Amino acid sequence: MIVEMKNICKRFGSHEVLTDISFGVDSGEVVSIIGPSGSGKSTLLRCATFLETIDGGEIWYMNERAAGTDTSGRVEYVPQKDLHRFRSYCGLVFQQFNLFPHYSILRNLTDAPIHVQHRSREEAEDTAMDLLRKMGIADKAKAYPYQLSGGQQQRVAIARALAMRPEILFFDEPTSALDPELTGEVLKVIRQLAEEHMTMVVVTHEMPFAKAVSNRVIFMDGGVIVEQGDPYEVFENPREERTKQFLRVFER
Amino acid sequence: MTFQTMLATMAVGMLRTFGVFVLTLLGSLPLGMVVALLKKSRFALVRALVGAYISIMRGTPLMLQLLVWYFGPYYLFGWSISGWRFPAIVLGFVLNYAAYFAEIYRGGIESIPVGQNEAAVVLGYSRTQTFMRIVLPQVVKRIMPSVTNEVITLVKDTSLAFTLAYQEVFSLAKQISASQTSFMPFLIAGVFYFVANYAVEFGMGLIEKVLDYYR
Amino acid sequence: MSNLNRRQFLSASMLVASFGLAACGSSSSDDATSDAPEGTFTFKHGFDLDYPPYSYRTDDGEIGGFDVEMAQAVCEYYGWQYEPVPFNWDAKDGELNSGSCDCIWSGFTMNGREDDYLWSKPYSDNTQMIMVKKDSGIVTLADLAGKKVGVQTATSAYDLLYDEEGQAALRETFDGGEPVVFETYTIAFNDLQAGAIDAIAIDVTSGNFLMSGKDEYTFLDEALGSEQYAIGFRKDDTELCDQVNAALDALVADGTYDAIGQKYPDIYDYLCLGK
Repeated sequence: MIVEMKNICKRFGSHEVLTDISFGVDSGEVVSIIGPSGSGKSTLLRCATFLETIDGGEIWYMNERAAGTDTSGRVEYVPQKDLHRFRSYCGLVFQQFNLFPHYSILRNLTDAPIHVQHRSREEAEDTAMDLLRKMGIADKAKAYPYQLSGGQQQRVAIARALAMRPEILFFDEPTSALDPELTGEVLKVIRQLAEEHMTMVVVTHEMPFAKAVSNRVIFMDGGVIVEQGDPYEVFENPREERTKQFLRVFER
Repeated sequence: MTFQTMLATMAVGMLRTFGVFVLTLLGSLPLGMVVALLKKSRFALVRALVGAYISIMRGTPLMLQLLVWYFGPYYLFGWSISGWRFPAIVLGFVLNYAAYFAEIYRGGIESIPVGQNEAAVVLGYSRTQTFMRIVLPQVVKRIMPSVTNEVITLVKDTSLAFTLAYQEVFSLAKQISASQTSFMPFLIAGVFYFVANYAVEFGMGLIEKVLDYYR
Repeated sequence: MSNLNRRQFLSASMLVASFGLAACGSSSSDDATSDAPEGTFTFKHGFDLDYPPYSYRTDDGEIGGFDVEMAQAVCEYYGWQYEPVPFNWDAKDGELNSGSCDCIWSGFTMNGREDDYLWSKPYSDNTQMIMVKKDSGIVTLADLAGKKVGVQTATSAYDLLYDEEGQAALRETFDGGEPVVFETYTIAFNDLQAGAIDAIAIDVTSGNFLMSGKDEYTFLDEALGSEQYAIGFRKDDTELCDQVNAALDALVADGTYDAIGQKYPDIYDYLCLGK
């Protein structure tokens, strides 16, 4: 298992956003998470990438525990220096790209490898250029984020996450902020990564994409996992009434 | 008094004005950042103390603050304040302007989208790295117009140093005007302030242009 | 500009900083701090540089005036080191009490402040007058009714206008029942010239100074009141006060007082020591 979330609970104030969520992702697996907005999908990703702290349950990476409930029932994270290592296992691609506007495209990809992972500038730049070529935007290396289209920016964001060589990459609705005609180029890149067996978890509303690319689909609603399984099973033959209702909206 | 003498006498005052101006900036620009960060401290007591400091600095006249810094040590502790005049002036200006700069910085820091912070955290940047490499450069660009405003105000506020009998350009203008029954010294002072502020605008404009490479 | 490198930036900052240091090296007290032998008493003379001809910037841009020259003469008499402390008039009590200066000697009126300071013997008479344009039609104090009358803040003329035993009743006849209060007499005089005010309540020496060379102004014959200038010391500083008084006597006796006074014709007639 690359990542394993066990019995995750998360509250904002008195509102419980995630209730007893458990799932794991194996190496090379591509998991899509679908569900209506407000169902807790994004919060789940943010908990998995340590942007939010959980209120109950356990998080495991590479068979090592990053957070868990102690005997008194309180959640305890590993110390800061170890957490840093756990963070390095995972990458996250945001809905809003969140590129660093004051850095060139190349520097967006090299700054963290150089200053966080202490790799040589040469190595970091080679890796970055390889990734940009793969994303089809090598000619933009010297440009600044504001000069790129949304689709290009999101591809840079994916490259930036990959430059850190994570074990697993999380996507938080990577195409939701894009004009419809630009979603294709981003989905193509993710599909390409799937073919290379990159381990990925994708929160998405692109049902055809989820169906075509994932090994497994998770349907969430109201902070719980309602149903999960093989994409064809879930999409063509949903067992749960709520799943059916949700999918019907998309068929129209 | 010849015009040349008047100009030469006032030039000394201009140099002193410039001295207060430069030392105030050198002290208050960095101190303001420290204050802004303390204002965001996780300790409520620190936040409250810093909040009170900012309120007092912004809520009372700078002239009064200068008097307190200079005469305070004597009236409160009976200490000798000989030689304390210039340090008191600089202290008063630095602490006052640091409060204003702190609020500008804080506004700038809070205007940076939270996503920038999150992206940096996910990439493994430490808190310090996130601030120094990601947040601060963007803050600097955003606050330039407000900082320019404040710096221009400072150029004019330096005349308040006369409160502690610092013979800066405006005090000299008043004195020469009184002895020569002439408005010319004020005119000279006015031209000086205008030219100084024009230089400030020009310099800050250059910096803004340098930072204009991204949006 | 974008290739302004770190070194250039640093050297520019250094340049700027050295200007600042140069400026603070020559701090408040202008000049005159000579290198006297160790242990010499330093006489810190507190005064307002906005008050010609007692203490002001001379035509050379230096510190001068009758009070300054007299204070220097006293120092010379005792072999003291003279240190000018040109202060902000509004902060004079803080300057004196804190020991930043040893006396207030700057055309300082003792009347009405008798108990607030330890006073030297008065060295100059002064009279509060009303200054008007000759063609204004104002001839007596009674003519000031309904007129705009200017005065400088924190002066004895101002105090007199609010003194119930002084000229408070007269003040109530002014336009609005209040004088027009100015930061300096120079500005007030400018307003008088421009016709924005009709008269100025001012002490005779300052008034003479402002009017010199300008024939179209005059004082009313009736004085507002009279007062005397003396040197104010901290109340417990009897020793210094006595020493200065003794020195003044000596300077009158040897003619120095008169010689210095003759350089200031605007006030010479009012000097009162030895008369």
